[in-house]
Parts: sequence; structure tokens; C-alpha cells
Amino acid sequence: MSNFSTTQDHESTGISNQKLAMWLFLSSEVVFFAALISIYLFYKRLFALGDLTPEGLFDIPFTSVTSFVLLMSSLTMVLSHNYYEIKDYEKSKIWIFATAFLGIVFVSGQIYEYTEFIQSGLTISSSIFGTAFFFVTGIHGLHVVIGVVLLIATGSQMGISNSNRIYSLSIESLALYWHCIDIVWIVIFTAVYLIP
Amino acid sequence: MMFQIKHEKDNSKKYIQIAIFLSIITLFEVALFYTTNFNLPAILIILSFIKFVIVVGFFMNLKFEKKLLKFFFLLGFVLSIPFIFILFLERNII
Repeated sequence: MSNFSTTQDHESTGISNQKLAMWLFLSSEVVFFAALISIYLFYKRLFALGDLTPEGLFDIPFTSVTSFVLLMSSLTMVLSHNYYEIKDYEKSKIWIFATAFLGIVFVSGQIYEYTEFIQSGLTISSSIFGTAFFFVTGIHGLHVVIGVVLLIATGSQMGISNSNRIYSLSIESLALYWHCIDIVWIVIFTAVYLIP
Repeated sequence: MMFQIKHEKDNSKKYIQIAIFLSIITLFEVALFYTTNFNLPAILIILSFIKFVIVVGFFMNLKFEKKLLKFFFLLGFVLSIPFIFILFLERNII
């Protein structure tokens, strides 16, 4: 109880400081990824690998499946938050681990995709296109990995905590972070993979 | 000031419906990629924007949040515009 109330002591905007900080962080993430995606679009046509064009390399059906997995992870995350709000902690915990699992599936898909590209000759140092592509998708993948670690940590804490209330803001912040990862991928999937 | 926890009702059905809609848009995007070249980038950008707005508005709950949070999130987009503009200007795209 005391831990929970001390986080609200300096609130003056009507919004909890943690929530406000999280939204500011997400806003900075939007600027960061907008810059990365712009750099990719800028350098997209600068490659020197013969037939290794973006159109020739990308496996759209496969990436569509991994995109769908990440989209569904947003659903499982929002379900976890929803069940948490109505105090069904068991279901909340199940969905938080389901989100982590889908995150792992997405990252595994990305690793498989990278392996295929590297075998085809596209590496981070093979061309400017390769550098831009691996940098944009790699930084996003790193965000997913961080999210998975946080999900597993939070889900595990829920199981051993005596007072689930103190995790309310943490789960909300984690859900916001995870949805932000999803919306960034929505843009990356369109800008990097689909737009010719 | 004590933070107020909203004990909301079960919205899981609503979220599942939204997720189905988002999945349909994604399938439509992929189908468009294979079937048409007609103004493809513009259509894909619009569909992507729709998905983006739905996730931010409903999953992230921004639609029902206070104006200050909406302002902060939009600020990120506003700050991105000069950077993108300069980049494309450098490339002589605009």
C-alpha cells in the first residue's frame, strides 16, 4: 500500500507520473523510429549486389505471418491488461505469458529471415541497403527482446506477489510499450517490405 | 492524491473484434501487394495509417485519455516531420 501511494506523491497533472513518463518515452520512440525508417527509405536503392534487390530478397508471405503474430501479441497484451483491470489475475498472467511467447515467435522468425538473407549474400556490411535494413529491423527486434524479458519478469512477479495492485501501473506501462512496438512494426512492414 | 484504478468491465470481446478487423486489413494489404500496382504505395500507407490509429486509439486507449497525453504522443510526429522533410529535400525527392 505504501509503495503504491508513494508513486503518486508528486502528481500535479491529474495523470500519474509513471504514465506521463511512459507516454513521453513512447513519443521519443516515434521520433527515433521515424528517423530510422526515413534513413532506410533514403538508402533503399543504394545497393551493389547484382540481383539482390529488396523485391528479390523479401519473403512477403513469411513476413506477413510474423507480422500477424506480432499483431496478435498486441491482442493478448490488451487482454492481459483487461483481465488485470477486472482483477482476474490468473487470466491476466496467462495472457501476459502468451504475449511473451508470441514475442519469442516473432523474434525467432526474424532470426530465420536474417539467416536466409545472410546466406543469400546480404549482410550488414555488404551494402548501404543491407546496413539500413538490418539496422531498422534489428533495433526493432531488440525492442521486442527487451519487451519479452519485461513481460516474463512481470508475469513471474504477479505469481509471487501478495499485493497485485502495485503492478497496475507497471502492467499498463508494459502494455503501452508493447503496443508501441506493434505500431512501429505496422509502419516498418509497410514501408520496408510492401512499398516497392 | 491517490491514484484511481478504474475497475472497468470485461472488454475482451471488443478487443477480439478489433484484432479481427486489424487482421483483415493486414490480409488485404498482402493481397494488394500481389494483385495490383495501381497507386500501391498510397493505398498501403492509408491502410497502415488506419491500423496505426486503431491500435493507438483502442489498444493503447489514447482515445479515452486526457488531452495532455494525446498532445505528448502527437508531439513525436510533429518533431519527426522536419527531419523527414530535410532528408527528402537532400535526396531531391521534394
